[in-house]
Amino acid sequence: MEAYQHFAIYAIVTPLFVAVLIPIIALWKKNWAMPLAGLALSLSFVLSVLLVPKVRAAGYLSYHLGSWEPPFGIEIRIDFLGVLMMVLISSICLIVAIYSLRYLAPVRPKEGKTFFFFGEEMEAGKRPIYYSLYLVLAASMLGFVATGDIFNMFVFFELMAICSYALVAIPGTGLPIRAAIKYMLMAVPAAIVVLLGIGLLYSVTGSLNMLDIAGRIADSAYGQVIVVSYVILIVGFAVKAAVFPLHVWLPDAHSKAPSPISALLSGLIVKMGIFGMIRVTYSVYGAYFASDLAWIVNALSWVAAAAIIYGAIMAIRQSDLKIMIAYSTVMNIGYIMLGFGLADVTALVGGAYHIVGHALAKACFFLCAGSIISRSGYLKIDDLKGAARKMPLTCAAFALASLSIVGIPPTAGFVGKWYLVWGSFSTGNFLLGAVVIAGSIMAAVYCFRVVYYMFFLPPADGAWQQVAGEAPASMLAPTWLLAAGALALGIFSSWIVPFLREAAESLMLLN
Amino acid sequence: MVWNTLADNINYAVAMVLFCIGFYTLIIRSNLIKKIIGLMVMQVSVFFFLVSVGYLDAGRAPIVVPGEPPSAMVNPLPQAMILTAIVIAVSTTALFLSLALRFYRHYGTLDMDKAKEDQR
Repeated sequence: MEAYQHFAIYAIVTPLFVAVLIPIIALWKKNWAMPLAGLALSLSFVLSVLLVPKVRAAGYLSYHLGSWEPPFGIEIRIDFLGVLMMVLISSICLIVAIYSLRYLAPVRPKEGKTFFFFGEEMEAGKRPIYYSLYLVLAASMLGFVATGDIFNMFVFFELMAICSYALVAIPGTGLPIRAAIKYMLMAVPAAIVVLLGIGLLYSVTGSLNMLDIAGRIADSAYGQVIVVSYVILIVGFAVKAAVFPLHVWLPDAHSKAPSPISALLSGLIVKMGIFGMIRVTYSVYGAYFASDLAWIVNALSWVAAAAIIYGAIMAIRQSDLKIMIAYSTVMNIGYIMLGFGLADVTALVGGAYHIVGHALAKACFFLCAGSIISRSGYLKIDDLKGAARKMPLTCAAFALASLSIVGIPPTAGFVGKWYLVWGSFSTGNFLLGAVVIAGSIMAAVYCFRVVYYMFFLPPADGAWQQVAGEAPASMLAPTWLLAAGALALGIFSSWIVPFLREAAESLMLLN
Repeated sequence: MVWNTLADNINYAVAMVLFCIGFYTLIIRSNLIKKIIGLMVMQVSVFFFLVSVGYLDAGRAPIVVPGEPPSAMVNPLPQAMILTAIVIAVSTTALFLSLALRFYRHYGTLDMDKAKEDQR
């Protein structure tokens, strides 16, 4: 066994291990939490990037935990899409962790005021816990995309969920706690339902390894139970992904959480629900996909279209910046679901590209909103008039990210939507293609309204007078890194699309 | 006929009824503690279902003894899974109860509907 085969498990276990260390070290050294978290996440990032060529060469990478052979032991099985998600997760987690440093512990400017997030006296005590939970969250997301065992997937799913509830509620004031409770009231039953689906699947196949289940499903006599378990699993993941009728928790949780956590929630955690659906559909139920499940997947594409329209209309109606961004996430989840629901290689490439592009742009949105809130305290869109005079770089990053959300070439959002439109037209779904284009126009309405306020309107009387100016460099750099990433992914899409096409084809080929 | 099928699969029926009771409580009650109780009943119903899947009439403990057929053993895997799931359920419930406590301290009520939206 060569050294690189251990990379995957190191990438997952290192953040978990450091997460345990941080609260212990914090007893003596409170300020070590962030550097330790950053180190662990950068190690995960480097290992994930090193895995890319290996996975590409072999098609997949299989690691047997504790050397137990796969159908009996837990297997880590990373395919194309998995390794892509690992790179995405570890990079965004690292970038947002750097941003958290000054967001949680702002340096007082000489003039003007600063908004302490937890209240000054609570800051130092809560920071280690924040980073500890943050690392467990990162590790569980990495494990979720890497694992090849369906029960192990559930465990990582729950671990991720518990950390995200706690991180939404971490400010400890009324509104975040209310939002976290609302989140839990929907997401905990969803997790129970996922367990029920796995149990049903286990009761008719007698296996937990995804590859093994896929083989056993093909000649199973319990077709109805398998279809029911599929529906149950999809509903469970759909709540976590905030697919339109089940999105009710999202606007509250995403807007009331600390901004770095909002960035993770919107950028990565909702994508994990979608990833769960894709993984379950193609890697587990592949044999049933073309026949008994086709109508369910087809129905999902119409649900996705409804999500696009609904999310866009609600985003246009909002007056609070973070709630607007949160509804925009509901809309973009619709796009990704559409790529998955069309059951076409081109559309799946579009969906996967949109996962990456939206993760970068939406995380950038929330980080910009966080910078504005921590410098000025303004939450409303109307208060953003003239923001570019005091914070030009933050506003420019916001503008760049909104180009990607709207889908203007040459940004990542454009490439994803291009493939989605192409995929829906080539499968004959012209109405769905039209919805994608209409959604882009509505996205332009809500994104460019904010950009217009920021750059072209004078500030209201007295507003922005006390604001000290631009956010500190350690907050600006992550914001710009994400915005530049969204732009670069659009410009260099010809490098990435073949890779994604291979990933999509290898998923579809399992049928 | 129907009753015989039901009697043979009584474990599934009980799990389903429990699940519905829990889900009903979760949706209808507005008191947070009652919602959490409903949630726990739902969890328990799923655990019950999964454990009963591995049950065998007059089954043996899953220890390999020479000469005994392995088909007479109770399936240990669902039990191991449920132990893991119980640990997760306990931590979820603990977090939920602590949030409910914080909620009560801030709003002075456990009723989600009564707590005003704009109250910090």
